[in-house]
Amino acid sequence: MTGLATSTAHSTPRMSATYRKRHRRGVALFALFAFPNLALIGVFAYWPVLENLYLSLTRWDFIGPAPLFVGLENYAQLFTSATFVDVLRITLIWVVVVVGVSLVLGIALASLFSMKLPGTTLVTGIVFAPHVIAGAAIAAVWLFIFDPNYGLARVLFNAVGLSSPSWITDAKWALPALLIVSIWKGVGFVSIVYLAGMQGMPSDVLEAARLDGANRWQLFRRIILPLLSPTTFFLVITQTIGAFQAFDVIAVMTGGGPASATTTLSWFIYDQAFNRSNVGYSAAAGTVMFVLLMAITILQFRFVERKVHY
Amino acid sequence: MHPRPHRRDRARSGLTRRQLLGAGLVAASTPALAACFNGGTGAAEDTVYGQPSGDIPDEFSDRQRVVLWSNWTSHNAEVLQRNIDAFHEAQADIFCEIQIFEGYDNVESKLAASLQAKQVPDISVLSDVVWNRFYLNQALEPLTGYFDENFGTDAFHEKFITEGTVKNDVWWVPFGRSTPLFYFNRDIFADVGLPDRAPETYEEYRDWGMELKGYRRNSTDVAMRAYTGTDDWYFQGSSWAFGGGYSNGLDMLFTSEETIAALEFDRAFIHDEGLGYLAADPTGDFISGAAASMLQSTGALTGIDEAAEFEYGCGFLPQQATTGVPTGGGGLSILRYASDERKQAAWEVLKFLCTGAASVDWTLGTGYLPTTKAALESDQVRQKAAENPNYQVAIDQLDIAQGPDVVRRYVPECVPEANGVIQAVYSGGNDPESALTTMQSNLESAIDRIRSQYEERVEG
Repeated sequence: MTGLATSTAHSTPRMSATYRKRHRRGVALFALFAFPNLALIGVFAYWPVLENLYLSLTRWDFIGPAPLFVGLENYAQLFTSATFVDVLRITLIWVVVVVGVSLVLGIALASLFSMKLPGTTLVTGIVFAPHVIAGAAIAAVWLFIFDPNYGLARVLFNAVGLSSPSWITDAKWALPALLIVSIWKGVGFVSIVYLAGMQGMPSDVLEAARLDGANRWQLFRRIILPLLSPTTFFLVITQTIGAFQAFDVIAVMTGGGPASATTTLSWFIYDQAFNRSNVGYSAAAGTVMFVLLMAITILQFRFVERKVHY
Repeated sequence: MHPRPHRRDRARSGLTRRQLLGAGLVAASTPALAACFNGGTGAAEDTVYGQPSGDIPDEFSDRQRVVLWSNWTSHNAEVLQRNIDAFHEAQADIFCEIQIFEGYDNVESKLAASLQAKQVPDISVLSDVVWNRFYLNQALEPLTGYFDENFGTDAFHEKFITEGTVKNDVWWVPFGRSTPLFYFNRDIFADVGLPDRAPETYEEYRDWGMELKGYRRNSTDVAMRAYTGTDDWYFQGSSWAFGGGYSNGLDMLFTSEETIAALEFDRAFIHDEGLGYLAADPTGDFISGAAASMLQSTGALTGIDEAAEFEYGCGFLPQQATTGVPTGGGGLSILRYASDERKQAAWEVLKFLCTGAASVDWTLGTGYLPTTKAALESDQVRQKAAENPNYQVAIDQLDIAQGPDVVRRYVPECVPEANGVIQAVYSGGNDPESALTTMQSNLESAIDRIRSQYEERVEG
């Protein structure tokens, strides 16, 4: 007993030193592998966030030599601006419609694809293709489609005895037009992710439900949808962030117009900085977007994730 | 051992040490951030910035390199490159590399970024409503001292060179300059029985529109005018024609009775009489015959010549109380922060492009107006004007053209605000008075931001 106690007393500092050495080596190895990535993230993600935060407290036109520190003036102006309220309203419509419709259409398409009807592979490819095509190219094509004088939309409307609206230049139609394009571009990705989720479902659960007499709707509502909740959760987060950041289609098709009818938060940030040389004001809007996205993501993790069945 | 407090308990007990530290860090970081980023980059008089990188062909490796930032693409870019190639042939000391950023706005953004990156081109193409901002911020080189007896300021059309002159110094040399023209489809005008000319007044324009109303081609109603909502240039002109304008100095005129009347004319033209519409592509609609007329730049002449499958004519812009023709387009400036050698070499490039055969080739190749007296009076330009009367119209109209109002030139928010207003009126039929009043109010703070600079650098 005494011998054991003595041995333990002697070995503890030695083990501790060995442990510390191993620990240091582990930390060094971690740093070696992690540092390049952390450095990239630091330089290209966190540094711009800090720079943006600083710029939001300044007034600067991009050309002048130094930004002028103005404290919270830009934020005060932003939160008392009727234009900004309108921008937030349009952004909310944009995000809710794009995310909502993409998810509904995506799951419907995925359900169709999972039936493995003839030609499914080809149709899946066609539906997914817009996701991998550059947004600017898609926007250019849709500009032709929407042209009220010689576009495809005109032909379709004329076929049913109606005249095509001026999709892009009419303030009432411009936002619906962009929503159509944005949903069309993104729904392929959503459907493929849902399809992957469906294909990974345990077949015995589905089989058991069928044996218990569940009809198709009950199967979808009670079994498939809950089992797809991790996929839905992932898509809601990524699609929401993507919808907030939508830019290319807006830039090419409407430039935020007509009369700001399609000015979402991301376009507003660009417009203020690069068209109006209001760098500080733009940075303040950028910070608002950053905080909004962070808050939405935290809320989703806090409350929506609880309803996810893994 | 104390049990770890539950999160809720901690929340009740007030700020944790970590939260307190975090809050302190945020509070402390605000002034610290101000010191960390960008602060104090004001440049001294003799500051020299680097040159953007690029490729120098082996045969020019021993020459002084000049970088020219241009907005022109496709055909116009080819014409410019052809002239630069001729420059390389004509001398053995300088190599000029053109770097293209499509559109005036992109050149402006890139140039602003380059000033922060302390790496600037030697020459840049800048539009008529952009160069002034770089001038206010002392980023441009005064060029008066570079002119000599062989190439003086009097080589240029007076109207154009005056526009680039502030306080007796030339900062911006006219190059790709234009004015808007009235383009009309002669076939449609003949079909309807309208005179084979442009309307003399906006009122006459409306009357002719009423005569055209109901006319159809290819099963489509033809509108009298396709409006653009992305360029307030034409409204700057009509605001003058109705006796108003954008501003007198920095004093805004948007809420003047005359300026409101100009926009009200457009609103009624589109929404009450149904004679026009806001088009996504007015030129395309004019060429396809969907619109019988449009206001478009002289710079579009060459393209319309090639694309139109009908007889078209050009005329002066309509008048009303007076004339209203704005000049537009781009010019060349040399950047102050280039080294003396680079600036001198850049001047040689600029001189070559603006004189002799190069200036004639440029104007004939692109359709831009001749900016020098020599080009204007050259045999080739005279011959083109004789062959194409539309081109002669563009030259003749120059006599009644004028540069943009001060607020449009010096206040960055003015053009996007004006575009928003004309879109709201053209598309939504909004009340012009209320839209222009809001615009004037929105621009007040923007004007205040540049007022001291303007008073010091322009008026002082």
